[in-house]
Amino acid sequence: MFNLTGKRVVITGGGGGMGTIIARRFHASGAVVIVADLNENAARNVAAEWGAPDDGFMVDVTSEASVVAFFRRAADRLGGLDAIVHCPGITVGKPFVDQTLEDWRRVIAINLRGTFLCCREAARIMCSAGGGSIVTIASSAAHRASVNICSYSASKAAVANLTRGIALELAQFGVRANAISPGPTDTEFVTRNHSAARRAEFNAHVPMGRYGRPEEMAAAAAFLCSDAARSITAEVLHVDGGLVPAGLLK
Amino acid sequence: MTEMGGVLSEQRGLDGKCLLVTGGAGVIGSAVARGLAAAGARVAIADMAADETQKVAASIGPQATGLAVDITDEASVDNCVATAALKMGGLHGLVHCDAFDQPTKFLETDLATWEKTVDVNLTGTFLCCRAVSRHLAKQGAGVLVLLTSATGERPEPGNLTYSASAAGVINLMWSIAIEMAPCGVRANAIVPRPTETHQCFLPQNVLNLPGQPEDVVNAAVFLLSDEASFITGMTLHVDGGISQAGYMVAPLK
Repeated sequence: MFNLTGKRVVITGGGGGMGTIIARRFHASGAVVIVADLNENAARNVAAEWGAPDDGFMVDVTSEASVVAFFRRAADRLGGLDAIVHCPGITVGKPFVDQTLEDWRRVIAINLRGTFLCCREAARIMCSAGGGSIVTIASSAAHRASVNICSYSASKAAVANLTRGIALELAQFGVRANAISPGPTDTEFVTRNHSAARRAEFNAHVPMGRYGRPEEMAAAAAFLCSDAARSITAEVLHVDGGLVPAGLLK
Repeated sequence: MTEMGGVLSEQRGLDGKCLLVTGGAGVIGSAVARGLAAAGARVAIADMAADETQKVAASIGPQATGLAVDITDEASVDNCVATAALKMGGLHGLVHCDAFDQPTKFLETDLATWEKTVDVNLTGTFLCCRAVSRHLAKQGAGVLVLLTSATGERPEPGNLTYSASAAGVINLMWSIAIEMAPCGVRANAIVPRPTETHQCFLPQNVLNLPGQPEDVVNAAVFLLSDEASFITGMTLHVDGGISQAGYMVAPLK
């Protein structure tokens, strides 16, 4: 439904999970896609699906040097940059009092520092080129109290706030920035790891009574990067079956 | 019909849908009706004056119908929804664009203004949503889109009546989203760019683009489509970031 023909797009975290589904959607919508991931083979394999394995790159989003170098190569290869969808994220499920400093640091590094570095490098390219679209991934956990995922929730709340700040600062350069806040989503990882009991508990709290599909997050990202969303910035787009307005997360 | 953005070109994302647009004779409502039709939908355009809605319908073509409705009147609303469903051969959703706005300072607000504002904006929304939702629930599918205002999230000084009613509409939308989800019905709201009269606190660094109706149209088409199949209870801001700007817009010097 969204025409992204000719848009030059980087999908970070595109080697698996939601990122891969998003990369496929953007390619199908006509975009020129670079797939980046910590796992270089995974990134190349995704890009190989449409015959362009050399459009798969390695990036360690926690490393400034890696991110700077990657974006330099990506911009070079694409001849510029119109959009980035930044997907990497991890969680640690432990009670607050049991979370270690290492747990905390790791989650913040990948989820928040990674978002900061990738958005900053993407923005540096887009601002001098007259515009672009940044999409980050927050979470329903960013907006409601949650249990046993304190470092994840805090990092995602920070991602949402960071994205808003980026949007306000870069509006004058024609660069938009928005966050998508998914609720529980059936990526391969989640499908494998959420027990029946956990699923039942989530389903009981989601008004639509099910998990989201990664394709539904991809549709939201495609919308946000399209010209149809030209007046949407600093927004958090909740794609969560009504979870956030519905009350407490367990 | 003009092509608007990327959404309404190529794939007709609302093909086969039958949609009711209330407040359809207004600037935004008529643009929405046009946009929904361009995306493949049949539209019923409802507003106070039947001849106004019929003019809009005629300018769109045979897939559009014009109807009269007084959204503060329960019977009028129920009748309008039933007629719309009959004429279109079905009903899959609503875009509600009606509102009454008369800014007055708090101490100078008379009861009549307060009651009319609440009646049109909040009760009218309730009645339209209820009538449409009753229909949608029977078929187990459908989408409501409510045009609201940023003043419903942070009030506009000197316009507390309208602001309060807008806040009520947003909260109502949440309730509808929660209650109607098991029936397969989604409900969302759109916050447009403020109109000229309300541009009191425009920060300098927000997107400054013309073309307000198109932004609402694109958002409505998206929310009504299957691309938004997991989006409900969402207030989508298409205002260039104005409502998210808060109070800190520049570093202190």
